[in-house]
Amino acid sequence: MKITTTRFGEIDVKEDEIIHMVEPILGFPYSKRYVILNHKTGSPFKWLQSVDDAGLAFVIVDPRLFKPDYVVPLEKEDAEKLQIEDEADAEVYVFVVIPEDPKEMSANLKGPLVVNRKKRLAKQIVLIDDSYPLRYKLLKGA
Amino acid sequence: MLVLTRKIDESIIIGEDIEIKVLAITGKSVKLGIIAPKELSVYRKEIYEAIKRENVAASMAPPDKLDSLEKLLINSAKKTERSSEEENRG
Repeated sequence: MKITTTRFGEIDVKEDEIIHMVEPILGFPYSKRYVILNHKTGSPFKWLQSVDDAGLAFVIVDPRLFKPDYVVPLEKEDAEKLQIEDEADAEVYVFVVIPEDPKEMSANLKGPLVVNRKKRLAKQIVLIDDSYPLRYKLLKGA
Repeated sequence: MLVLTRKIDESIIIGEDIEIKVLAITGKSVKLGIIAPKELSVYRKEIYEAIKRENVAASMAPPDKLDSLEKLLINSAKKTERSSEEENRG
């Protein structure tokens, strides 16, 4: 199917690539379906593009790239909602904020996105303990 | 705003299936127990608001800046890798 996006124009996505948020991303209650697009081949960045809102897209990145020991303690309820039976079913991404000075870019390690690609379900998990920061600076000493 | 006074071990019920119980009061802190359907997420408000603000900021990422940033990110990640290898060796 074709979806319209403000950043990438009209793009063709397969029905089975569409990911449904089991709960909306906080702050964006009306957007329930997304697709994950590669920014470019080989780029660590991906786009989480809304299917329901052409103008809504987030930059996401695999946190293990810069924090190899990053783990999301998934509550039983969330695992159930996401129908994750095996850890291997879960893909974890974090949202990237690129402020006006792009060298200050940060990743939100406190609110990761957990995706079950097999079932095409996703949820932003809010970690209640303080083990990971809301704004993890991605560029060390930049 | 509806205001109710409750003592320890007393609850309020919201709708059919949400219960909020006062478990303990210590100084200025109140410990609440919440029973709610598991499809409802319960957040501490300040964390909820912070995540929401961060999400809104994340939704404004400029695509044209990504190409230059990805090189910086990959280099920075390599540095992290090297320093953790050194830690492991030491």
